[in-house]
Parts: sequence; C-alpha cells; structure tokens
Amino acid sequence: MSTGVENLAQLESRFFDEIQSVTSEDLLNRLKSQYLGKQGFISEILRNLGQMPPEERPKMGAGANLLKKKIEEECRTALEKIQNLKKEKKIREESVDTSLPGRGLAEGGLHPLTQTLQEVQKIFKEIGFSIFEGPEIETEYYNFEALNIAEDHPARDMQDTFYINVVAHRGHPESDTKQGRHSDLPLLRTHTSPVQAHVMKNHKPPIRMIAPGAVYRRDFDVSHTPMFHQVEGLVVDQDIQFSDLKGTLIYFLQSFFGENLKVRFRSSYFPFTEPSAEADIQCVICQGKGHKNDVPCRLCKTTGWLEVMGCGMVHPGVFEKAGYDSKKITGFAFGLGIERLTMLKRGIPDIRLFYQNDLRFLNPL
Amino acid sequence: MKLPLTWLKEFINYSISDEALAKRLTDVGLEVEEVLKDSKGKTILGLNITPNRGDALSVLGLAREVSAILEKPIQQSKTKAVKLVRKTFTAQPGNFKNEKVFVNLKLSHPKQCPRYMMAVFKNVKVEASPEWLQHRLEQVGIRSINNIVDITNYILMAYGQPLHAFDRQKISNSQIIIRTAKAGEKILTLDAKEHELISSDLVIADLEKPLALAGIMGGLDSEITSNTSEIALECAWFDPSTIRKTARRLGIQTDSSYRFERSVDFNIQNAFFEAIRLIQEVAQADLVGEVSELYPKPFVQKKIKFSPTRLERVIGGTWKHSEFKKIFSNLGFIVKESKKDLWDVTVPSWRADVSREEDLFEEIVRSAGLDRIPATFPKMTAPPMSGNVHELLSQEEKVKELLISLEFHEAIHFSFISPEEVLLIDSTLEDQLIHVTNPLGHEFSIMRPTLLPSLLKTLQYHHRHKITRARFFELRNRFIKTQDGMIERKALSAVLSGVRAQADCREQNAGTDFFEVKGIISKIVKLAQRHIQFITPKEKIVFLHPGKQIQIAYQHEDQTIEDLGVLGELHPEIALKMDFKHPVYLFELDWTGLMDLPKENRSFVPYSDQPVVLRDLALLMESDRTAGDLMPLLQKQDPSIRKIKIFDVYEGEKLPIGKKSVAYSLELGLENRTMTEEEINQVMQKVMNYLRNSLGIEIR
Repeated sequence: MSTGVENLAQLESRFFDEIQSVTSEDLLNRLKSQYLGKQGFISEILRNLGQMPPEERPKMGAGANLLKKKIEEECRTALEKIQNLKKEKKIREESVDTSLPGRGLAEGGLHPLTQTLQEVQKIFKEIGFSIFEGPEIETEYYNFEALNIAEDHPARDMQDTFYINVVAHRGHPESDTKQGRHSDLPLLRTHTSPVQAHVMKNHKPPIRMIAPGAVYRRDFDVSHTPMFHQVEGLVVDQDIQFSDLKGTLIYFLQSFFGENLKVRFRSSYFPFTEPSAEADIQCVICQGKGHKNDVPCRLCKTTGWLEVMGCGMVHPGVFEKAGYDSKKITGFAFGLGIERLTMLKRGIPDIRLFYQNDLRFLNPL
Repeated sequence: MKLPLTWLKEFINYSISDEALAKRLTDVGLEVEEVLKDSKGKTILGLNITPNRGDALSVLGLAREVSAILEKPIQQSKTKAVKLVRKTFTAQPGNFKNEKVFVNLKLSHPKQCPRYMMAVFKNVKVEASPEWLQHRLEQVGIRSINNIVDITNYILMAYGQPLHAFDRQKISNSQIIIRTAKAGEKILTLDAKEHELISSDLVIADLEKPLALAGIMGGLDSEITSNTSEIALECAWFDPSTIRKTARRLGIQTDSSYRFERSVDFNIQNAFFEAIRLIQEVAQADLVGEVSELYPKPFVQKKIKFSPTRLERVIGGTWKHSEFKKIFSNLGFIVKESKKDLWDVTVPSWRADVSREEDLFEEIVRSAGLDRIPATFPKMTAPPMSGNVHELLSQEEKVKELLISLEFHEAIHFSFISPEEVLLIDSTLEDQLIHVTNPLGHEFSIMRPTLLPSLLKTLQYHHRHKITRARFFELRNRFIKTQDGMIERKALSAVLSGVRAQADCREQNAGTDFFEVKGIISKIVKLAQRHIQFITPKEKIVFLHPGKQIQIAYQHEDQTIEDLGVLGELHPEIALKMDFKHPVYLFELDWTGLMDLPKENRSFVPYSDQPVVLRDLALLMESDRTAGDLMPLLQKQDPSIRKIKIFDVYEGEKLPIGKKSVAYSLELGLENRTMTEEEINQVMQKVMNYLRNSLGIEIR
C-alpha cells in the first residue's frame, strides 16, 4: 500500500468493475456489504485511520466517506436497475397471444320471428297500444262466429282450419256455458282476431290493443307453413275513423321499414271489417319501380307494391256480438303476418326456413 | 275468375289500356293477380274475387264494375223475353201443372229453392260446339263437351247464372220434384261418384230418384249425351248455405256450387232467356210450349237507410254529397233522398253482399279510392289499458336475453308433432295427448305436451351435420289434456351439448355438465325474482340419466309441492336411440307456473357492521350422500351461522372407496358485537357434535 488515497482510488475502481457484473439483488447486497458492511473495506479504512500519520487523517477520512457515498449511490442505482429489469421480465412473461379469439364469443341469438314480434310490439306500445294474448286452441265461436264469419259463409274457405279431436276433449276450458248454443268446438285458431273478441267481452271501450301469437292453417308449400305468426290490432272508441286507421298503419309501416316508405290502401274484403282494405308498401327490392336494372321484379311481379296488412273498420256485427252499441262507437282492426314482414325486411326467400332452426340460417340473423 | 277482355268488350265499349284497366279493377277491390294471353294473343285478366262478391264471378258482373269505374253504359242484351207461365204460391207450397209443357214441377222446399224455372226443348241436335263457343270456353279454362253443356257453361261465365240440362226422356213420368233428400238416399253424379245423402241436402228428383244434387252437380243417368233429343233446362236460385253445406260435406266444388254459395242475381230470367235463344240457335232445338216457373214469394230489392254525415264521421275526410249519388247510381243503386241526411238506397238484385249502411260506405270508399281518405291519428281518450301479458312479456324478453348471453339460440318449432316423438321421451304422456282431427300428416298429428322432442330433433339435426356444440331454447305454449279439459301453458325448455358457456379455444375439454344447467336455472329464477327449490324426484324421471337429474319445485305455504320442471342429462338409452354421440343436457321449466309464483319483494335489509368469522369444516361422508342438503341442516344449529358455502369436493385415491370429502365454509357473526373465541368454539363444537352424533359424519 503506497498511500491511503491511492488505496481509496484503487478500491473505487475495483468496486465499479465488480458492480458491472452484478445481475441480482442478492449479488448486489453481497457486494454492498463487502464494501460498506461492518467488516467491509470502507469500515476497515475508517477503523485504521488512527494508525495513519495525523496530517493524512482528515484527507483520508473525507475520501473514505466520499467513496462510501459514491458506493451507496451506485448501489441504489444498480438496485433500481435490477428491480426494473425484474419487473420487465415478469411482464414479458405474463404476456399472451393477443391474436387468439376472446372468451365466450360462441354466438347465441333470438329467432328472427321473435325479433320482429318484439319490434312490432315496441312500436305499437309506444303509441299507447296494450298487448293481450289469447289461447291457441280456440273455440269455433271465438274464431269465427264472434267475428261475423257465419258457419255456412264462403268466407270460411279463406282459412282452412285444423280441428281438435272433440270426442276426446269434452269440457274445453274456454267454453262458455252462458253462450248457450254457441259452438265450443275446439280448433287451432286460424288468426289472432279471436283475441279481439275476448278483449271486447271483458273490457268496455275505449280499446287500443294488439294481440301477437301463433296461428294455424292447413297449408304447407313454398309460401305457406301450417303454423305462422300474426299480430292483430284493434282500436275502439267514440269517434274512430277510417282516416285514423290509415294514419296508424302508415306510422307503423314507416317505423318498421323506413321513414320514406310509400304506403297505399286498396279495397278488399274481410268478414269482420266493413269497409275493408289491404295495405301495400312499395316493393323493397325494386323500390316500387317494378324493374331493377331493367329486369322485371319477381318479388312484386312488376307491380311495385307488396301486400303486407289486412285492415278495415270493425263490422257492426262484431260489435253486436260483443254487446257494444254499434251506433255509438266505431273502431278499426288490422292484422299482419310476422313471417311476411320478416322475409321482406331481411330478404328471406322461403318461409319454411323459419321452422328448420338451422344454425346457418339463425346465426347471421 | 278469368276475364277475357275480348269477351268483356261485348258488354261494354271502352278504350283504356289493359294495364290501366287491371289497375283500376284492383283499386276497387277486384284484385287483378295476373295478366295472361290466350292462344290468339288476346289479354285475359286473372282476378282474385273475394267471397262476398258473388256478383263479380261473371263477365257481365265485371262489366258492371268497369261501367261504374269508367262511367260508360253496359250494352243491353238484345234477347227477347220468352213468355212465362208463372204460378205464385201464397202460403202453401204446392205443385203446378201445365198441359202444354213436358215437365211438371213440384216444389216442396221454397226456403232452399225460392225460385225455379224450366224450359223444355225437343229436336235437339247434340253435337260439337261452334268454334266461337269453344274458343270462349277455352279462354276461361273450361273444357268443351257438347253444344248443350257448353251453352250452360257459357251462360255461367257470361252472366254468373249456373244452369243445368237434363235429358228429358230420363225423367220418369215427366215429373220434377225439388225436395230435400231422404236420409240414406244415393245419387251417382256426373263424375261417376256415388254419394250418400242426408236430409239437409237439396235434390232435383223425379218420382223415383234424385236426378241432380241441386246447384252442385247433375246425375249421370240424366246426362246429356249424343243420343239426347229432348232436354229440360233448369235455371234456379238456390239458398247459398244449403248448397254450401252439401258441397262441403261431400267435398265437391263446381263452378255452379261456387256461384250459388256466393249468391247469384235473383233476377235469373235474363240469363235464362239468353240460354234459351242460344239453344234454339246453336242446337237448332224447338222450345216446347212456355217456360215454367215456381216463384212462390218474389224477392224484394233491399232498401237501406244511408246518412251522408255518418259516412263522414266513420270514414273521415271531406266529401260532396253529390259524389255519393253519382257513385251509387253508377253501381246500379237507386237513391231516394227522403230526408236531407237520411237517404233510401235501393240495392240492385245482384248485390246480395250489401245489407247494411256500412256496406254502402264501402261502396263509396272503394269507388272513390282510399287515397281520398286523409291519414289522421286516433285521439287518446283514456290511459293505455293494462293488457293481460305486459309483465309476462317483459320477463320473457329478459330471460331470452339471459339465455342468449349464455350462448343459446332461440328455436321455433311447429306446435304439432308425431306421438312417437313424444313417447320416445316419455311414454307416460300417452293419455295426455291432444289430437288434431285433420292433421297434415301423422308427423303433425298431436299438440306437443312438451317442447323437448322438437328441441332434441333440432339438436340431432346439428349433430348429424357435425355441429356437436349447440344450445337451443324455446319458450312457447305446450298443450296437455287433463280430466278438466285442455291446458295450454308456456314452457321454457332447452337442450345443450358440447363445451360450456365462456369456454375458449384452450378449454375444449370443458364440456357442459349438470351443474352448468342447474346454475342456469338458478340464474333464470333469480332474474324472474322468484324462489324455487331443487328436490330429488320421488320417482326417477324416465327420460333423464338416473344419476344426473333433479326436479324444480316450489313449496307453497300449505307445504304442498308444486312441480315446476326438471333438469338433467338425457338418458343414455334415449341418447343412443337418437344417435347422440355426446352427452346432451336439458331442462324444461313450467314458465307459466314460475310466473304465477309470488314475486320476491326486494326491499332494504339491514346489515351489521360487526366483523364476521370464517371457519372451515372438512367432512368425510358416503359418496351418495347429498352434500348440498347438509347446508340448511347445519345452518339450523345456531343463529350465529349466517352463511354456508361448499368450497371443495374431493373423491379419489387418498380416500376410502365409497367416501368423499366435502369442505364447507361457515360464516359466523352476531348482530351487535364481536363473537369471542370461546363462543365461536362452542358453536363449532355444536355443529360437529350434530354431524357426528345425528348424521354419523366424520370430521377430517
């Protein structure tokens, strides 16, 4: 050892060499105690200060303390660096393949018919209509007679009916003994209109209701399924006019299909309304032009119009059956097919697809 | 109804284009469905005539409509009236005999046949029709048979009046009787089919037997053949509902019955005179004597009161009263303005469908066009009604959203299926099936008492297409026959197979299981704010795995248990029969039943700020013990036990065979102060004593 100060300089450069290779907190602590610990180099220098010539002592003492600070400072920096590296490593290790798909993405979905039903219900509810449901197994009375469809009227041919085996089913819950001779022969309702008759029987006007539900007719081909869905509507009050029917249905059709949709009304016939009409909308394929890209439109058969709803002013005979005074009140009724609305809106080519429940059909809808 | 426009032009002269005509007819309620061309390139309109408009089922009838639309007159037929021998009956129906005619008529049922006419011809030449006649029939799709039959069909199409020609020599004793059939009487009709008749059927008979089913079809015996030389031609007005009843019962629909059912013009004579003229001309036949007629009580044209202001009130918009008069007159109605706001409107003989004031409103609006009516909005004069299903529908929407978030698809199936599909799953349902009387086939012959067969079939379809991870639910009515009648209730049912919800691509082995389905039911019930219990069924549910099934139930205040459904794994035997190669889980919940349960009252529940203590208990018990059922039992041991959870279940090599270890975590606490260590130990000791002494369960 030449001079103490030289010693200090050597010690310092040794420390800075050694710390370069320190990669963990453990090694750092060990190095630190080697230099700064009670038995460490700095302590030793300070302990041996008394054996030094007095004139060197202050310089040596100050040098050792300075070195101590330097080492402490360097150890702090090194510790921080090591900790950061460790954190970075942990984060690196935790990372995932972010390109893999998210969890729980298997698709589920509402049936398109339910989506349409819900949408239709929402539109009517917003303008003050209430929703009623009725039985799917109806009686002949409610399905036909209460709606002014007499037994031997050809209007019954408009709806080919499924009957329920009556021998096996006496005492249908819907049969009403007070109706006396009214037919309680059970059948599958051919339309949702019987719900009108039930509601009118149990409520006094004013009435503003819709009745959604499944209905049944004996037809099964490209454009008919033996079960399908309708929404029936009824408004009864003192001064209901045909113009109110027009306004309401135009509002509904434009809410459902789009604001600028053209709607027209044509005279028609239903036994339970008089006057009766059909509501047509402009063709959704050719936009009412009859042709698209110079090709005749197959959907509307070039007429530019699509029939979507039946409607009319409630026939006084229906009011009389319900016990209403047909001279004092008027009303309108309408009916629409949920399958048809859905097919037109979503471009579904075949009604039978709704009932196959094929995921390839359901998923994109 | 096919309308050849060349034929139409014989009745009315007009100049608008075929397309414009088609549009105008559609606008007035006579919908033109198609525009066709005949063999000579002439336009034929195909119209869809609504059942009320029997009058529009002829060229003349449609010409009247065109006349009203275009305000141009109909060209009157130039046929001269033939002299009529008429006997009017007063009270008693009877017969009448005219020595000059070859046929005597007898009418015993004037209600079913208010008017009957007959003309007799001799020296008839039955042969092929002239070309013009054949072409006319071809245009409307009727096969040409011979000149006599063709003329009757021509008149039917031209005037809407069905006629029938009998071979006069086949009528025994020259006696025609219009009567109802005797029960059991038989008739062989033109189509060579034999029909057994009932007493409500109307027949045209001679003294021996029925010759024709009135208004529907003639008999084979009295058919016009090439040997026929004398004919008796019938023109009648039959009661629509009588004709319809018989036609429907026998399953026969003819052009004739179709028109009688929809009512023909009660002024039948004009068409008849035209037919007589044609038979004389075309078949060179001689009319014998005069035309006979039975018409006991002549029809009177209906008169309806019409109030123009009431029309304005019911229809809306503004109208000129002169416009009403013009429309009525164009359509053949006669208006008499007896009072300013109460007119007498006389209905033309051919409009059987118009009988009330509202029918007159329809005539006005369909003629004026519905575009004339403005669009307004009905005034709300009362708050919305409450509806009978608002709460139910909002719950349905919510539960459907929940199931969708659990990766289910909603399915919708027909309500009718085959009995076998039901019985494969549950043969005990056989007595509860509701049968459709006239199904479209055996596979649609019963109303579903459960939604599961349809859902399983849909799942099976996907499995066959290699889609084994699929989940479907359905919320709809099911139909069950009981002693009290037919019950229609909504069920919420689901089937599922493959990985459980929220599994991802690294967890392909995490298949769905009993507990996922049980959890789904709990979620549904919680969402619906109801309470249910899961109970072990008293008898095994036949279509579920015997070891993986549970019943969903509700215990009423009087302790009765209401069955609300089942959940579990599809029985492996059924799965095998249905060709499922993967386990299938399912549930069926009585949705109506659930909705009928009292709704949970959600209000504030006070809670304590005192700390709680957690203590664990590991129990060794028989493998078949229902560990979940212990929880309420343990909780009863001390009021300081607030909650119990099962946090670990182990069964395996470290344990004796037939044993399992179940670890329970107990949460203890008092309302108003902290429990002491000693108190805690006392409670735990009480619980352990109960387990050991009362249940024989070992504490690990």
